[in-house]
Amino acid sequence: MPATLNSIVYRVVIPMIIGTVVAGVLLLWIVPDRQNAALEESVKSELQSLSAAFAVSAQLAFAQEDLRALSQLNKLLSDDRRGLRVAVFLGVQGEEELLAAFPDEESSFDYLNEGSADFLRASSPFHTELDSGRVVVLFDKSNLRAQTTRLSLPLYFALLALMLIQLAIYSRLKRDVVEPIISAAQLADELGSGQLSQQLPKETRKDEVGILQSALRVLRTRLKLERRRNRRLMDSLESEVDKRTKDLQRALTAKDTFMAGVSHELRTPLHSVIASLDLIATDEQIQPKQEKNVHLARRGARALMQLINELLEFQRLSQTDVELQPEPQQVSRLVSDVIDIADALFQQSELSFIPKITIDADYWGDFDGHRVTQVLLNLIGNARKFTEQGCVTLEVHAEPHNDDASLRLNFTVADTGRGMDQATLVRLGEAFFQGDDKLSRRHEGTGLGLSIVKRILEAMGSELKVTSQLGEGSQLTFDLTVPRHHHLPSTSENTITEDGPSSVENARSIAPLSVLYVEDSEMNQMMMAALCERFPITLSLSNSAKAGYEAIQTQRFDLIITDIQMPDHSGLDLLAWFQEDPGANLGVSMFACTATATRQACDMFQAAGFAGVLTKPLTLDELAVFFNQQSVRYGEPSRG
Amino acid sequence: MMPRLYQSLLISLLLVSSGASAQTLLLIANVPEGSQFSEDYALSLLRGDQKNWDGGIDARVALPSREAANYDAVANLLLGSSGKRMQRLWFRLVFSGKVNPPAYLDSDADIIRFVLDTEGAVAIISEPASDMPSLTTVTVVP
Repeated sequence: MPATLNSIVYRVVIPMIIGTVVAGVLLLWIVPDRQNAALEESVKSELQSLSAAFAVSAQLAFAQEDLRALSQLNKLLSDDRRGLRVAVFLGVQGEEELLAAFPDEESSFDYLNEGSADFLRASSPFHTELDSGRVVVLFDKSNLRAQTTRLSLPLYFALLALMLIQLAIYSRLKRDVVEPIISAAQLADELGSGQLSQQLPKETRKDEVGILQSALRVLRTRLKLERRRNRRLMDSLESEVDKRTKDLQRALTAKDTFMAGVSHELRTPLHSVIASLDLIATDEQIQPKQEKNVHLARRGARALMQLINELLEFQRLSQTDVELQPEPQQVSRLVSDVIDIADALFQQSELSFIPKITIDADYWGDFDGHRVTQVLLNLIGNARKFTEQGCVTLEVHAEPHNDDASLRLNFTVADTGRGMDQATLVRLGEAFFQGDDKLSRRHEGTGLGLSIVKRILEAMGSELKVTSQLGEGSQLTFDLTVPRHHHLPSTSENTITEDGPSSVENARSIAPLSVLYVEDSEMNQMMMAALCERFPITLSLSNSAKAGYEAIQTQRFDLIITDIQMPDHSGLDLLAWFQEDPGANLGVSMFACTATATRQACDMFQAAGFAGVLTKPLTLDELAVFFNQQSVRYGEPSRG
Repeated sequence: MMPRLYQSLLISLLLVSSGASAQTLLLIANVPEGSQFSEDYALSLLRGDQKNWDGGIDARVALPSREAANYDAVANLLLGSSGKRMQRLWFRLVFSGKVNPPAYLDSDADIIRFVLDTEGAVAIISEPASDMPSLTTVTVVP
């Protein structure tokens, strides 16, 4: 970490440097100049005294013709170390003549010029009866400067010593204080980020830095202990969480198994109830009063069936991802089918259903039509349920997208119902949530519909957008972008039960067929028998796979319908036996009948060799459609 | 001590005729022991060209003062200039330390006495004293 100007080094050293510079300026320039000036003044004064004394000597020498004083002056000047120069002039100023000078060996007496700035000078006049003149005493300034330099030399050494001391202080401060502090700061950072394996200096200092290092050691030790403690705690918590997760998973599995079992067990008797009610409702001898009660009973039974179906669907989606089966779909046909079903829903309602469709007939796309239908019917059903007056609108818009490589489908279901407040909108889609309590009490249902819708749309890469205003209705929208098909694929049906509804009246055109129904449930056997009484069907019953296979070997049937889950041997076992007997299966189709007819299960059954899959509970209408299709297939009535 | 000095006393008498007055001048010297006397060297001492005798003894020059009768004559003999100029020359020489200070005396008698009394003294006089030959050995320089 480089030392910045905020570093303690610079905060100490910079004032020292400034102090040194000030001292340097004082010692190198100001003080010597002052000293020089003071010395010059002193020398000038002394020169003046000397010149006066010399003038007296010269005057005596002239007046009394005694030159011994001059000789003494010469000796005095020779002994003087200051380099004094003395000149004696005769005559008046301006016409002076140099009489004598000391030293006399000068080849030139330029220094005597008044203008010379290299010398300090002082002069004193003398007068005698015969001559007059003046004595000039000069002092070489270079000697003065040399003297000043000699005087300042200790100061220079002192300055140099001061700088060296500062350098030493800087070096020591950096090495012993700043670098350990920076190192300690980095170490603290590393400790803070969890790196506890860093090495600390081993030497023990007894100063403040040593205290800091010691504190860091203590901190590291405490952090290590804390980490170990936290790790133990974490391990304990993880173990506890793992244990509780397993417990929870076991509980969820048990719950799912229980729900699946209960739902399945509910569906079987409910199947019988619905079938019985269907039979009663279509009985020509039914009384009008009874007809109304039967209608109510059928409605309740179907609502109960829907509830069970939704529970099963929700449970399935909770455990696994939504399985999508993309197939070529004609969008207009799919929407038309949805409208047909919705029309039927609204027939006995005061509400009106208004479809607004703008789709070209040649728009074909690859997507799971069953799931889209499921979503639309759910949304329409919800809108109908929560709308007391007005209408429910379905808007579908399709347009090419991405250079005609795909289709963008926009679906909107709007209603004129009571709408939802913000709190309800936020919770919309939560499982088992149906808005406020009053609403949920007033309307039947599980509250799972929108939750299922959201999961399906998520699997399709879409999302449900809801806008609503209390008292003015709601609008639910979703978009789908699907690969486009430019050719019209041939339609094929995978499951018979997905066909549109057919009336019992139409079923009267069914040709006589001989049918074997293999079912372990006596109740289901009775219901199938009762339903088949409405058709020209000769029904034979077997209560196990083994009994069914024996029947096949002794009797010829047009159709075989078998339950899948049976004791001892399943419907799949019966299929395997049937397929192993080439004589038995010639021209005969075998259909599976199951309450768990998921798409995956249907695919698996068909891959195994079943001609199709019937989904329990079977209704009179569904059976009519099924037998009608098989009549067309076989063409001629049964051979009995 | 005096007799010993007298033994080595040498008086040179120089007879000079001045251009103007044709005055006769005598060179006298108290030559120190161990020194050789010559007229030229004695004159160089009087002009201030030399400071010592050849034996290393300081020469003591006696010159006529402004009051002396031969003030200018001696200057003229030695330097070809006036007495004033000669005094300035000796001022310069003494001040510069090249020579010892001369003794300025008013009369020949004072000068002779000074020479007789001072070893290494040299001087010029106008006339010899009457008693001088009886006391010293005098060499007359023509």
